[in-house]
Amino acid sequence: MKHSTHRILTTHAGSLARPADLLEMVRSKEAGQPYDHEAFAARVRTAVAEVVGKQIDAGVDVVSDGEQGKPGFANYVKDRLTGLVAREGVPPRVSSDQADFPDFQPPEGGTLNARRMVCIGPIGWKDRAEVQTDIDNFKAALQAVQPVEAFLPTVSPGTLAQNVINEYYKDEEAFLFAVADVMQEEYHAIVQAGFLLQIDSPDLAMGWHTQFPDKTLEEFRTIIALRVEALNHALAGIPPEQVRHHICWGNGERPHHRDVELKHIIDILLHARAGALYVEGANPRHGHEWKVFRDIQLPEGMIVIPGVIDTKTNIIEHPELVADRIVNYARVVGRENVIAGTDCGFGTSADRTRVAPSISWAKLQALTEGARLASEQLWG
Amino acid sequence: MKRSIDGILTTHAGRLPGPPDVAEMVRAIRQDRPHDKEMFATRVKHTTYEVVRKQKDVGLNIVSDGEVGKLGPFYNRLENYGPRQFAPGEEPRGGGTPRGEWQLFPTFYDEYWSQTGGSSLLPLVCTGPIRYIGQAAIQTEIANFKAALAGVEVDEAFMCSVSPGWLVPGFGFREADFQPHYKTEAEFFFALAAAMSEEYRAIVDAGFVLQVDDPRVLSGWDVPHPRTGAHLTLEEYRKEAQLRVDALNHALRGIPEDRVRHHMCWGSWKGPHTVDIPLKDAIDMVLKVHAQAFSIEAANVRHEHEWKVWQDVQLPEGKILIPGVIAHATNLVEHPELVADRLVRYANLVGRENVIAGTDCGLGGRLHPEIVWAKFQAMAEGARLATDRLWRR
Repeated sequence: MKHSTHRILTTHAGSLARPADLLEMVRSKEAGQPYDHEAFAARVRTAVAEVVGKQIDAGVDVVSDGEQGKPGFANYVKDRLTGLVAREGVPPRVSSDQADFPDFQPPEGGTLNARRMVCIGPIGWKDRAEVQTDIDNFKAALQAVQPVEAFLPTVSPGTLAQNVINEYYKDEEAFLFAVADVMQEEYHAIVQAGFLLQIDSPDLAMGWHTQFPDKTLEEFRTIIALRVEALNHALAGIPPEQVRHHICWGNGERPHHRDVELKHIIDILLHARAGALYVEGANPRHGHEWKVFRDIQLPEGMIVIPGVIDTKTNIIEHPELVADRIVNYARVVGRENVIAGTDCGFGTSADRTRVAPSISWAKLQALTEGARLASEQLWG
Repeated sequence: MKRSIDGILTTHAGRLPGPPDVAEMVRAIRQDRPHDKEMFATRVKHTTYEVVRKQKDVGLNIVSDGEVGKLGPFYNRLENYGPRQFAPGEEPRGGGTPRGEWQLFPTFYDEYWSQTGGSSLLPLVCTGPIRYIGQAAIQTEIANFKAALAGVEVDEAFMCSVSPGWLVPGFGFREADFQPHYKTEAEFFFALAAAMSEEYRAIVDAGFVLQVDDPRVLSGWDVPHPRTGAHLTLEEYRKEAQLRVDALNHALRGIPEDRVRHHMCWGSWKGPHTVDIPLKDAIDMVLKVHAQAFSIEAANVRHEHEWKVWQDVQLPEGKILIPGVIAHATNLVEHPELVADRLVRYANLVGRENVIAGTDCGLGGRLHPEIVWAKFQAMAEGARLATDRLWRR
């Protein structure tokens, strides 16, 4: 993984807005309606090329495929794995920050993630070709451009333990390691294709206020420690410097006042076999947590990718503010160990467009402009 | 005016959320639907009482009446001033909508305004000599606030009114909108100022701190001028803004500076805000307002970096800064540690006794009520943390 050796590099959390026509196809596909498979495959391929070009135009250094073909950052696995079904009518979880404000309706947007995945049989591979399609599309898109580096996002076993109702395995541990044994193939395929691997583990932070509001902090720590262990099992044999690990507290514009504090979980996060720890740092619930890094010792060579752009609101960060945030981190962990990112994705669910697509691109421009200003300060 | 002598005081920008039934009555009155006048008066009085106690309960030091019964529009308090229809070719969205940004994010703005009901304020026209006719309304508000404060110990109480500059939709008039009653725009502005001065005095005479809401001095930037249809250069803009500051000072004449706080913001719509004028380009003019305290947006991501403006600008002796440390731009509740960080930055630059914690703009009507009160709690807690750090407790 490249460090910010001469200037602050920029990246984002992986998912990006889908073009409107592709989104329509994704909707039909997810609704189980007939759709033109060839047209869909072709459109995903061109959409990946388009978003790669747009990332380059915005000045982003470490680019992704934008997860253009996936309905969401996690639920895409239902099309790839056996043992999973999507079930209608499962009531959504009520997170503790929502429970405190019962008549507040979060402006979440998007329904593609509303159906819950349920595990009803052994987890295994149903369609390995989809991983290869992601890789092929991304490789094709990268022919025309030369980013500093390229990554593909994928989902952690722990996040599937959070999002999937397990009706088959005897407990969460059995489920986690079964998923890890299967998903490691996707992880290896991405790394072997020459890309950085990004593991999305929102469960390690958002799990407390969404899945386990009744657990004590100690109990939650025990749960996520096991999830990190399962992730490490899946990452066995992959060099940590090829892996970035994304953590977040949920991408909804809601109170978030019950979010677990980073300082209470960071020791567990640092156990993951990843060369970069990627955490939210821009939104007002976590904007102060750069100070957490003053109190801990990062492993030698470890990169921190802080979110310096909020992905929940349409107001565009001033590049000066972006620079201030980057400099805060750089002063604490060293400029070469900071890559500037966004808090989360701009299309975590394909139809979640709380941040308007045009604004998401302007936010990425603010990110790269802010990184340029920070680099001027840090390298003089 | 109280300042942060023993610890960082907290306040907000004025408007607070009221209960749904009062909001519905306000809508009914505005839309000329039938309503129970006595019931409205009683509910407003009671709601004022409630919001004062709630402010006290969440730990706010400097409280307002919450503007819960304010009917608007503001021109109802002026005689011979009111809306007119658009002239052919006139830009219906000129008022309060940054045109440059509309062109940058056209789909976003189309969707945003269609969801929020649009921003097409009608242009205003003067039809005779301007005179203040809001005496009864302001006296009712004062009486409600006084009654609500009885038996509640707060550090200070303030009431809001609008600046002459805010009385203008968009950023200026066509000549036909004020002639023949006033010869020049400046003359008309000073007439508006003289009228509003009556409301300002009523608030101060009642013993309250007066907050003058004056967003246009910043949010007028990038609104095309109605006479030319063109965007203003910075120099032209500063000239226009200066006229508004002069008019405001005319309205404030004779009122002791230490009874006045000035609030400005860049407009509270939830858009990208990329064309907002930088604070550094306007702050010198704003500081000429005859007010002791200045409330400025500083918590949202477009303006948070501007605390650094105070590295270069000297806060004049005796003045107070009320930076926004809580934003209406997001439903996320600010972490108290972040609130404290923000306050400490200001305190380190302008002196802890010259900083009062505030909100970016009025939160009422802009966020869900439950979230508003949770944000106030976060602010009060953040001010306590900042006080611990700044007074080394």
